[in-house]
Amino acid sequence: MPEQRSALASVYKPGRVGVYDGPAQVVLFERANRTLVQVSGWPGSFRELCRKLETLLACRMPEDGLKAISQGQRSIFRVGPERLWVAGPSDDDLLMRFDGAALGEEAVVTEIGHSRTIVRAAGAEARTLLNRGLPIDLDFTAFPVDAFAQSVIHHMPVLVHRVGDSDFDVYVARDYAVSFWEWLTGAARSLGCQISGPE
Amino acid sequence: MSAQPCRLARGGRIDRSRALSFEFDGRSYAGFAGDTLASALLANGVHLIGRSFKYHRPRGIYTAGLEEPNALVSLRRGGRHEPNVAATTVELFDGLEARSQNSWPALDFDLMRVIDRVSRVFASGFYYKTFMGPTRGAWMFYEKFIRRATGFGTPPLERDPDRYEKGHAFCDVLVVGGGASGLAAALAAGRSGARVVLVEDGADLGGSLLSRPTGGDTDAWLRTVVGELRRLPNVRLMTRTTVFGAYDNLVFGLLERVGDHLPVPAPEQPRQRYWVLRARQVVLATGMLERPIVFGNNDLPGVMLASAGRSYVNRFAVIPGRKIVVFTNNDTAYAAALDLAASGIEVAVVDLRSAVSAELQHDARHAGIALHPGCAVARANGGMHVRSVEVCTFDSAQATIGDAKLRLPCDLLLVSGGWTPTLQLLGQRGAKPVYDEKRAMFVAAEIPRGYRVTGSATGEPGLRLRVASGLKQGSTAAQACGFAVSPDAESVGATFHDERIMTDITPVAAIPDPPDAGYRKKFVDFQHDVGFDDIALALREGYESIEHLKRYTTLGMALDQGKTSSVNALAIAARMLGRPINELGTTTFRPPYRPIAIGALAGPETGLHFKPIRRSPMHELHARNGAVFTTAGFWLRPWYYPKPGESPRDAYIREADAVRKAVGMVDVSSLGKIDVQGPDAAEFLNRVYTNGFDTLVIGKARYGVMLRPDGIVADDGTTSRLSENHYFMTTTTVGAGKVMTFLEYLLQTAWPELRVQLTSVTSQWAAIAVAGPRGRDLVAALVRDVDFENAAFPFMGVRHGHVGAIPVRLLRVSFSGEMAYELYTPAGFGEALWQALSDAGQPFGLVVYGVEALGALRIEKGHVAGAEIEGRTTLADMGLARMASKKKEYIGSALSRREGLIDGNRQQLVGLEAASSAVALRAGAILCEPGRHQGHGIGFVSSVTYSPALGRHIAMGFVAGGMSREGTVIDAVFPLRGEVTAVRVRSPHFVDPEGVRLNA
Repeated sequence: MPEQRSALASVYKPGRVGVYDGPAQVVLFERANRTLVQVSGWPGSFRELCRKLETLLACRMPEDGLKAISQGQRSIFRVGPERLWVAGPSDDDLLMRFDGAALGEEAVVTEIGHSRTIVRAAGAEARTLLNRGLPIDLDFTAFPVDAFAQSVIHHMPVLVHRVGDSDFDVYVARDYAVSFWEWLTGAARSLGCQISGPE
Repeated sequence: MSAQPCRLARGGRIDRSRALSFEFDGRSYAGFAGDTLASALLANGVHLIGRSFKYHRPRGIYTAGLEEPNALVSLRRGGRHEPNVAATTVELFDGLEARSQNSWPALDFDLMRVIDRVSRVFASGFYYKTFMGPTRGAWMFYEKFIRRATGFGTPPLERDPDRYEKGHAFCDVLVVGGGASGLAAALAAGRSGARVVLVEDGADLGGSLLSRPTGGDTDAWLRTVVGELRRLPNVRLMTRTTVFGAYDNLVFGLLERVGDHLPVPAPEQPRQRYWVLRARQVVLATGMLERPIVFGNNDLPGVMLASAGRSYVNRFAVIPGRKIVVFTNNDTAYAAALDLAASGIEVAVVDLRSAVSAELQHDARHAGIALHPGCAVARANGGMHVRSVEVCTFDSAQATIGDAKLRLPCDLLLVSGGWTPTLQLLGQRGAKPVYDEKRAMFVAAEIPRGYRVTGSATGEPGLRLRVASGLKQGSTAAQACGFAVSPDAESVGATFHDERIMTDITPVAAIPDPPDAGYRKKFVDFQHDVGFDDIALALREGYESIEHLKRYTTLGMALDQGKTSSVNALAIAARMLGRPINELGTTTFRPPYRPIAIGALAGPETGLHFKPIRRSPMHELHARNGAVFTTAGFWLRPWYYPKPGESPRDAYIREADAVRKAVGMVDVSSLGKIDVQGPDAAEFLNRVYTNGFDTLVIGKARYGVMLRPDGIVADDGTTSRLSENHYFMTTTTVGAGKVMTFLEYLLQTAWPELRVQLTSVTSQWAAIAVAGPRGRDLVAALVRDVDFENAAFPFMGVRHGHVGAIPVRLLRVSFSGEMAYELYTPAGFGEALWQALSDAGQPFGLVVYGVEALGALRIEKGHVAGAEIEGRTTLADMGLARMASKKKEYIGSALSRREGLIDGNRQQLVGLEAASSAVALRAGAILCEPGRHQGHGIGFVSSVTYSPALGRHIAMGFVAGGMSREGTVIDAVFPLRGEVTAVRVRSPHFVDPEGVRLNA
């Protein structure tokens, strides 16, 4: 498979943004080597579909739309009543394992790996930065590790996933990616931000 | 620079080690860190700050807070120029430049003061009664002169160089107000572990405690409490921040002034930050504001609130006057009198009440204060500053003034007419306060869910009770959030003595004029120059509702929103009407509580971030190729690709011509794309499209049209069948969102039994249309794994192939009417596919074209688009009646048969060509019978272009009778430009009506 071109390729410039004094309070980088697959089912058979997925992926499926299940490099989000997103490394053979034979007619598999750009915001002020546009309470008590939310930042639909104490992954639609990046780096200016090379 | 002649040698909460210089009206002065502009001006003996809004009367500093109605100034210069700022709210910084407003040629010599000399003429309503004639447009003529003669400061003309930020914040307990009760509430809630945000408008915490003499018990208490709050990790203290709005569900609007106290904001820091805060509980510790008393000349510089006088002497070590009269109707003003007397200043107290408590009499006597009980200040005397006051005996029972008169010389008159709890945030939630006759103040009645009121905002003046109330309300707010409160949470290690209470008050609406003393204006609303007489006039003219009174007089409007005037106005109106104040009610409270800069509301959403932009996967290539972009919804799409020296018209005509003659490609990635899967997908599509989709075979696409439930066309596009249960739908660019939403709505509500999954895959796929007689040659040369023979891959066929290693989905569909393919590839490969096509296309004469050429091609072909699917048209209107299946029902089918929608006289799609080939047509032109250019005409022009294929201007439009008018000439009228163009009605299929080219 040829290499995917990042939606941020034209604007991604590693280096310091904004306040230069002292350590960067936020580190931003693109998680370029990730893919995303959507698996959907029907009300009557979704539990059975989840059981098949649990066998295939050797991990539990999320029960609700608030908390993801992360195992190794994979994270699974319940983004709708009978709908899951499975995110993983781009060399994960997810698609091959989710074919009709494995999951049966009760599953609808949609490859959406090209549709999202994933940006990691890490550091002490990552939460502050995201909350400059995200109307979701990111306090640890309300939004612990693996919590996720589907919301909007500056009118752009996003899925925000807490992956660590102060680390967040933001999934943004690819065609908004440049606009989102410009907003994010602009909002980070007063915090002091380091843009690292893509993961 | 002056030497601050009115500054006390010691005391105050200013930092004397940090001397600051500033300018007012071009003159340099000195101040200290911790000063406000107002306190620094007073320290320098400057009392005249501005001219009043309408009458250009001299005005000074009236308060020490954000309620200031008079001392409005303009700050800074250039893009940072800011008008109408209350000097009492401006933190002094080195180099501050401030200017007075609304005077000419100078503040102390304002020629416009002449208006005041004839002020009795300029009563409320004068302008609207006088300047309406003699013609209808007369007001527009007069207005510019009126505006020049009156008003506030001028807005900045240069671009604001500063940044503004927005943010979202969350907490369990929001405490509004950093005074004693607010601090106590935050402490009690914070100790429970609740997440607490305490918001204080000023730079320092303490509220009215900061106006007390330094070094007292309250200072120690303040240090202890603030210190503990700062150590609590779950408590956030936001100073220089105002809660300006209370909205549904405990959502609050906050404005943080990040850099207003600095000459310029720190590097990369915003000037201000707008917060949206969501709380679970809120404690309002918003304090209360002192009220003026209405009497003659009560607006002279040198008249100020008693609480302000106390604040200036204790907090800022400023002597606001050397000979002071305090005029009060309650006990609280005595604190100011005693503190000022303690500073060695000569003080006299005029008290409306004839019975003053023995304790106060003792304190006053002990402090050397002359006391005049049962008297009123009936008038202040002076030109540019108060020089003396007329004191008369006063009968508080009858509110009448006696004959006995006494003139007290003074250079400062402090007044206290009672207090008004600050309940605007409650009012914004619809909870109107009620008037407490005993305490002569509006107090909270109905408390909305989640709200608590504490401290002096409840009307309680005593510090001990205010702190106790704050602790209690903080605890209960935390408990309401599920936090356990320990018994010692409400201990703050200090007790305060009961203080003078304020229930002993003699309410007064206005002091009558002294006998035989002539007329002097008595102001109620200083900021808008609304006086006692204006209220009387409004009531005489029938404006008895308080809302009408407000609008007729403009009382309570402008920057201070009546903070010092509204209760006095109500009292006056109630007295004149002979009705209780409660019966009149209050006006409606709306955000913002204090003025908010437009820049803060806009935040970062300016320029680059005005709105988000959707970019195609090939956007950068288009930019490098010199594309000029246009918007479609949030999308940026290539409009045309001009060569050097080409006009937009030249460019699109060249591009469209090349497509007809050779081959072109266009980025169509913005088309909406929906993945439709499931065992019932065919049935679902059958129900939403007007034409049948259950018969669509795998590997084929079909054009489909959807109706709204009311029978009007909603959107169109092609849908391909990729496998038995898998379809790929495309929609228009702008319609994508609403189509997806509507289809999902149908599945979830109308047809939950259908097993269909919809996924928007617009962002997943890049899409390129290749069109033209050499289109097949180009695509076939590049794409492998596909048989491009006509029989193997016919029109409306769908195939999968590869360009190198890139997977490609091909649809043989055409919007231009040419032999054409749409190539879809995962978005990350979009640039590579575009580049491969571009490289391979050179031998075939490939051009890239934008949406202008795309539009020209589709108009030539007679294909409808957004200009035709515009929310009023039916299938039949657009000549697509054959697409309405008669074998099934579908969304909109029932109502599409309504009488109005099948009326034969409806306007229907036609082609139009200018009778003269050189004449351009205009979209939006009204179609009329020749020479009968009346009313709405018989139709309109929807789309226009120059047709390279026909060498003339053509159009699509809707006209009554449709194609029955074919061959006739009608008029296209464009009234905005006075144009009338003769157009011939013809088929909208201008090019290749038989479809030979696309089937080639």
